[in-house]
Amino acid sequence: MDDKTNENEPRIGVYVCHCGSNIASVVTPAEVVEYAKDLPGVVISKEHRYMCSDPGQTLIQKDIADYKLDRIVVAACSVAMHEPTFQACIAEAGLNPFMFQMANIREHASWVHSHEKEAATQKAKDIVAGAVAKVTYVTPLQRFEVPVTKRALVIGGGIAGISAALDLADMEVETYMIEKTPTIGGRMAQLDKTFPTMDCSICIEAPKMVDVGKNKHIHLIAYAEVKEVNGYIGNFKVKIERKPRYVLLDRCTGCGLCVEVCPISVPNEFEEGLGPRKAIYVPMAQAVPSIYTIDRDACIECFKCVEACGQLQAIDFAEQSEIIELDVGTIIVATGLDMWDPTEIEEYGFGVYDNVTTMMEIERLHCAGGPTVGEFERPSDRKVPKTLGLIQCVGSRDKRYNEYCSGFCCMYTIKNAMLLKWLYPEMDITIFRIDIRTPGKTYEEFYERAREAGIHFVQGRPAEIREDPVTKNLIVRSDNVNLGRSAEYEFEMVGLSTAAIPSAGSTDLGRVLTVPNDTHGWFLESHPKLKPIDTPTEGIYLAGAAQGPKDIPQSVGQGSGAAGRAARVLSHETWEIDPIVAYVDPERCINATGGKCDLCYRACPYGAVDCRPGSGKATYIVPAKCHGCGTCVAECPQNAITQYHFTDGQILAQMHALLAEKPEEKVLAFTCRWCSGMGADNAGVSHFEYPANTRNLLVMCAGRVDADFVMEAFRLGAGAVLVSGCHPQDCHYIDGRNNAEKRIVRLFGQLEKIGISPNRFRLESVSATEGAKWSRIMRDLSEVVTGMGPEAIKTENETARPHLTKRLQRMAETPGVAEVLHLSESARLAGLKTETEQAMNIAVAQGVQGGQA
Amino acid sequence: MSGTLNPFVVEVQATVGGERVLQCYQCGTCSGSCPVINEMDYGPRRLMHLIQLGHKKEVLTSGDMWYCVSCYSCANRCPRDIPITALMADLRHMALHQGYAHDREAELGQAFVETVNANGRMFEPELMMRYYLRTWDIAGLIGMIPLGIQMLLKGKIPFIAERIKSPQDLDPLCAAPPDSKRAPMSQLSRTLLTLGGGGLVLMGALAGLWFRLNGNKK
Amino acid sequence: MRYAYYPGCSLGKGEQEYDLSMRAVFAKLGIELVELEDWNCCGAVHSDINNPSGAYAMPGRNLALAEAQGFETVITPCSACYKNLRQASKTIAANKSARQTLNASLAEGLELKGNITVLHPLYVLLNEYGLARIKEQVTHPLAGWKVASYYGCMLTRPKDDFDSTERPRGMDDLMRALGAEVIDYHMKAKCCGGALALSHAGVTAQLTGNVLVAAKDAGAEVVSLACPMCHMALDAYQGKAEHALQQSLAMPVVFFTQLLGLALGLERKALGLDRHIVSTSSVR
Repeated sequence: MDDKTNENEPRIGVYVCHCGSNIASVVTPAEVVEYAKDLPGVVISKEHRYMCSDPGQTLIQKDIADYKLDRIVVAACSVAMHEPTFQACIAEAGLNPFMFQMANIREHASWVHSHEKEAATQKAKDIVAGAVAKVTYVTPLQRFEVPVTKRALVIGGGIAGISAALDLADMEVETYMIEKTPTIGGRMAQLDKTFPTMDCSICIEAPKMVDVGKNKHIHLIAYAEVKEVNGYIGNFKVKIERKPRYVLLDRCTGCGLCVEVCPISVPNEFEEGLGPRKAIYVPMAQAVPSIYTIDRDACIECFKCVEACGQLQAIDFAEQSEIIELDVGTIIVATGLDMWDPTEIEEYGFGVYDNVTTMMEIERLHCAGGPTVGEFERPSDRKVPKTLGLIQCVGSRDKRYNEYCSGFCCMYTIKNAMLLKWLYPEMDITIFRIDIRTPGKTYEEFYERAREAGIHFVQGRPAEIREDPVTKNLIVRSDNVNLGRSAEYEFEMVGLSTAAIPSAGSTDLGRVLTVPNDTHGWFLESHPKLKPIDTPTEGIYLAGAAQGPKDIPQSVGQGSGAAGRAARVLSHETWEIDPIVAYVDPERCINATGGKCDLCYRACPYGAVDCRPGSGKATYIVPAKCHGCGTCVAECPQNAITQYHFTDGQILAQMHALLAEKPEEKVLAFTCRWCSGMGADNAGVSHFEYPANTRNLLVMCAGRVDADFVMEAFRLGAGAVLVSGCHPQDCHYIDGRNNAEKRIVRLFGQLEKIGISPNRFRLESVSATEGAKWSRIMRDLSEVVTGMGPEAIKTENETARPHLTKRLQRMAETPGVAEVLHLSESARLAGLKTETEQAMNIAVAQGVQGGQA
Repeated sequence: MSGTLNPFVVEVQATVGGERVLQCYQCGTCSGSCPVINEMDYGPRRLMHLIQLGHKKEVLTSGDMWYCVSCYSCANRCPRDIPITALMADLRHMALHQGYAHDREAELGQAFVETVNANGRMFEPELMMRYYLRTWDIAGLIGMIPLGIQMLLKGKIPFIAERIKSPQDLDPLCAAPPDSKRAPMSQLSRTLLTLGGGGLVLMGALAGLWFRLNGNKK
Repeated sequence: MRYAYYPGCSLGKGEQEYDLSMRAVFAKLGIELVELEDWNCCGAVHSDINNPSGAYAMPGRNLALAEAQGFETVITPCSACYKNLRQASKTIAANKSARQTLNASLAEGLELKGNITVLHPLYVLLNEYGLARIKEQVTHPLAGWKVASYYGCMLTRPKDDFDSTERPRGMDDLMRALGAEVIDYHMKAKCCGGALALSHAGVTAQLTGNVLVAAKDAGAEVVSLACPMCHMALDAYQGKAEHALQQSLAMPVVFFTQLLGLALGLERKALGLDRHIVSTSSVR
């Protein structure tokens, strides 16, 4: 124990918790306390029954003052449990909350090694030693603050975007809405009536559309697309391209004289191609803005419209596209959905047979505002069909096309059937389906009404459709599952209930925003249950079908939700950024000297890396966008990147301590903070026992695990090494686990070549609920080590050591690591502290100024 | 996190066609597409459900897989991407070698691979001989005579077997599994097969002679 | 262009017309076909009845032979052989253990190392040779002939890159290029039932009948096809089909290579047109 206060030496306090009998009944706290006293840097070492209790915390705080402690280790439960508790505790006592390390001797020791008390106590000592070693090298970190621009951007003018914008406007947030097509309204505007209430869609939407157009807080920029987004939460810089309408917004009154004289007619997209529009057009009568647009591809430039416009002179063929630059604090993505084209599903004959239509076409055909003024006519002969077949799940729930269920189509087909039954009571309607899904309020009752109305429901997905060449009727061949036999059904017209797909351009927009899209192209939410509106990019939120197919009430709800999430940020002057971020040393980055490396850029799923290969400028990482997975740190072949609070030096210090004694008998397991870490905790909570010769080392993400770490572990003589992360599709940092895989898979062959038995190194995925799996993996690896025996392992390690040492040369020379490896004087530590603080300030400055270093 | 599965399901899942058998959600696209559904006891959809429930005997004693014409319509359209045609082939293998098969098509399959094993290629006279000695389908044989004569007159029937250099190379692929419980051929059939085999060789020799005398090379 | 030619068992005596016309036409077009030495039966639909790995290993032996004999591509006219060889090549390419199992089943010294491409002659003509080139060499256009192309099952299924599985058009495009009038009908890619020809001839007769009736009702005067098993069903079993449907059909059924041969000016006899069961005297 040392009570000299040399400001360059760490002054560590170690506190061993009994946790009642949870820890104390297996691990002997007093032994651990004694052991800790002799660890380098430890000034005080104590035990307590309940560290997290008030008295426990007070003890720590008092000791900080009395002994001038500058770092604390609490040996107790899991980081997931009480790390924040103790961080707050020491912060109260004046220490930086990051000068703290948790040592888990409960979930990782007492709860899983109850049959090996001595070994469990030994393990607890090792864990504490590891924590002490790591905390020796941590540095104080500040959550840094960025200013917030109180302005919001909503991309997409459908019902979700409209809902979000109106809510933001009510909060007096200056809101910009961008819409790709000439008018807002989206899919909802194309609908006739809406389920289950059967109210007229445009009637309930148009007032909101008008509101958006008139609201003094909302700036609507229609016929425009987002081209570039830079910056981060609170500080997005957006470039928007407004496409030329060739009709001037401030002059067009929407009088429509131009349309009357235009000689060109083309299919109207709004009417699903079933009705015409002119080359100069508004998509629909209730368009907002009510401004015309010229489709130059169709236009023959006869200029009759210019003539008709007369004195207003609202038409300008010379108009150019306009780039608008905006600074916004938050972005809401509400780009909606498109309907899938069923031409590909050839057995149904869409596009081949006249009378096979899509459900949206049917929608337009019975809509009073539609191309046939509400007369429901079939395409081939414009007669009202007496029999109608409707087929569900066309392209949905189908591994060949879209695997998911589109959610609203059962309801919307039933709605169309009901509407047609009202309009044409004699029409015989059959719905072919696999299931009927009616999850919303009063949806099931709606389905009951449909059955009462005499609509037939056949369980069976039609195998094929063919056409009677004379009548143009369709013959649908389907297994009738309830009857247990196949049959052919003849209909005068067939409607296909097609899948919902992400709006065209979603993946491109995702790239522009650095928001990931899932495998089907829907924008990816941060957490499917607890954060369905947030995206992994802080400050960007999702609303409506952009996130996944949904109906109108869900879209409206999520729109308001997104406005709320955005308001959270916009209501502050500044926003705090978590400091466990990565930082590039500009002197070590190879791009600074003309190199052309972009490995870190490619590894980052958040677009946090600003990389200019070949430019002579070092790469830098935008702290506000960095989520702290550490993958780039591990990827960098120059070891130029550091992660605060998980530096190479800190991790290696911890590893050295864990493997100091009899490493050949130990299994070293790198676990991620999320799935695997929680899986290991789950094993503890469930008391799935496994042998005590195992040691955990926590990193934020498996992606952080440098191949060098694994090699160093073997160089130090480890018996076996495990790297465990989330299942790849669940990775908390999206791609971290995948990157770990790519990087580490190479190691397998390499290690085997230098003499390490392949079963001594494993790469695994363990989820938070897979405690049993964790325990099994630990048991397996432990058995590998004990099975081979210390001598055999030592021999293999001896053979491998020279090769490993050679390969670890570069790592050994990295600043921050060298000290650890040579257990240097603490004088170097002080220098390190200043260096990293300086680096932090540079990073913040770079981030705020948008990248000009 | 999977629970314990029915042993028949596990057995089917281990085959190439049956990996995703539990995914089938009974949409009926397969049965709706099948051109021979009326010949089958269940049809592919109901057969899939029987597998899912573990009703091994019903599945393997059914005639369904023996009527499958391998048209691939079902597999091509299945929204769960289940390779139903391959599954039917796997069920044929299981039914035959676990002693459940009873259809003439099962005999044809065996006659086919035995012929291929003997020659490396098909030889129709041998195939016919093996097939009819297994099935004793006299009615069928008689029904083939008019066509047989037509084909004979058009020179479409081979008399000499084409052989690859070492037909025994195909043994591992053609031999029945050692633990097969398939119904053995009757003693009578086996005797006639040996005699018939000799007859084929004789026929081939005579045909060869005939061709040589008539100046045709074969 | 030089391809390994895998005729398949049916093209021996039974469906010799296809082999004759295939070789004649490809020679006329200047495409070199070299018969694969020592090729074995692909296994048809029975390849895996005794050993499941036979599904890819029985046809797979031929891929190994093709590689050993210095070829990169094998073409095979029979749809079933084509399906078997092509699927085998795909399985082996995707699955390391499949390749290992195949090689383990092969004789000493024979081993499949790389990937062999398997193509059907129809698509070789359409994609690699080109319709335009064929059209240039047509001397006797099939002017006004009402040709219904019959694809059967395994030419286009399982789904592949060459043609639609439901509404294929490759053979129709070829017929159109030869000057024929293309007859479209909904049974063009439906099963003839050929697989059950021996064990359940009645089923074959019924399915075959359905195809022929549909073609006839759509106005066809001749049916063109690309598979010897389908030909056996539609030609040799046409009598049985007529009996099953209680209807006269009298539909000549020929191979697309024979029609192509005629259009290129080759002799009927050389194309085997006198060997069919149903008279093809109207096909001239």
